Amino acid sequence: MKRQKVLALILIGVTIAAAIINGLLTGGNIDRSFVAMPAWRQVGYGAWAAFSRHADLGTGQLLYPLMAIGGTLLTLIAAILVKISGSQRLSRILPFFFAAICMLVSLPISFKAAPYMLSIRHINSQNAAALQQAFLGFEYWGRLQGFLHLVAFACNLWSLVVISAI
Amino acid sequence: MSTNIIFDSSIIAAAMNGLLTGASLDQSIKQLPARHTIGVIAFSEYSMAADLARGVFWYAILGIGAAVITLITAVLVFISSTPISHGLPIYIASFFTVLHSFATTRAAPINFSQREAATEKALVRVFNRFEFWQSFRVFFQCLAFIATLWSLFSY
Repeated sequence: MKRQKVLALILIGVTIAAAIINGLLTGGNIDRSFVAMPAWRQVGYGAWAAFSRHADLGTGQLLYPLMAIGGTLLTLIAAILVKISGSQRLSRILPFFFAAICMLVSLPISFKAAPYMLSIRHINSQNAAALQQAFLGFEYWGRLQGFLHLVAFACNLWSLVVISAI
Repeated sequence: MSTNIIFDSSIIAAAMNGLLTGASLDQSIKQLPARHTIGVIAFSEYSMAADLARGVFWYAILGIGAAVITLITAVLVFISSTPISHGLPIYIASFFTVLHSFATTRAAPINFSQREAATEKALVRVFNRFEFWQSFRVFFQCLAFIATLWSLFSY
């Protein structure tokens, strides 16, 4: 009985932590897709590259991978905890597993997006074609990643609803 | 007052506060510091194409939406005579919402004033002042987000 109570408390803590990190990731991703990237199309790919070398490849280079890996780990731990806590009902387990699958699938997508961003370190600012290719590649994979983070965040909230009802 | 309505409204508040905080944190940690290296003129060109163009509608929907839904939830909790111990997280979230909304009323006009900044020095001043209020705002947005998540366990 005491073990079950401790497991339940850990599950709540881990799920809240996963929701916080995935919520922050999602907010940043949506902002980039709907506000930042359309603005860079207007301002120019050269300016985007100059900015990204100091932003995405500056503080962002450490922060976002840490958040993506941290969010994935916490979501996975929550899914494992809900399974070992003895929950049998599919409706209780489902949101945890959906969130974990979305975060797991988003990781290799990050690995597809990252080389486009890293490539701008070596592209000459006069090489408009290469910069455009890097921009479009990063935008494409970034949107896909953002969509998966959004679904994972929604599933984290659904998981919290499920836990709070128990 | 149905607990279901309060609970549903708390979920929407948590979701919106999460997206708002994520967008705001990205600006504070990643975007604004980049102005020191790319220069304020280049940064301002981007900021006007982003924050002062599409961003105006997106941040208004997200910022006002998150604040309104959080405050409405607190009002629903209050009029439903929910015990204070159960309502505390959403009251705390509302308090932080008022604080970050106040910071927005200071930060937004400063950001808009970059349109009138005639010199590089003036732009530096604009972004430094904006960064001050932005830091204040994002801090309280983080706390409001955490409090709305906590509120899901309090009814």
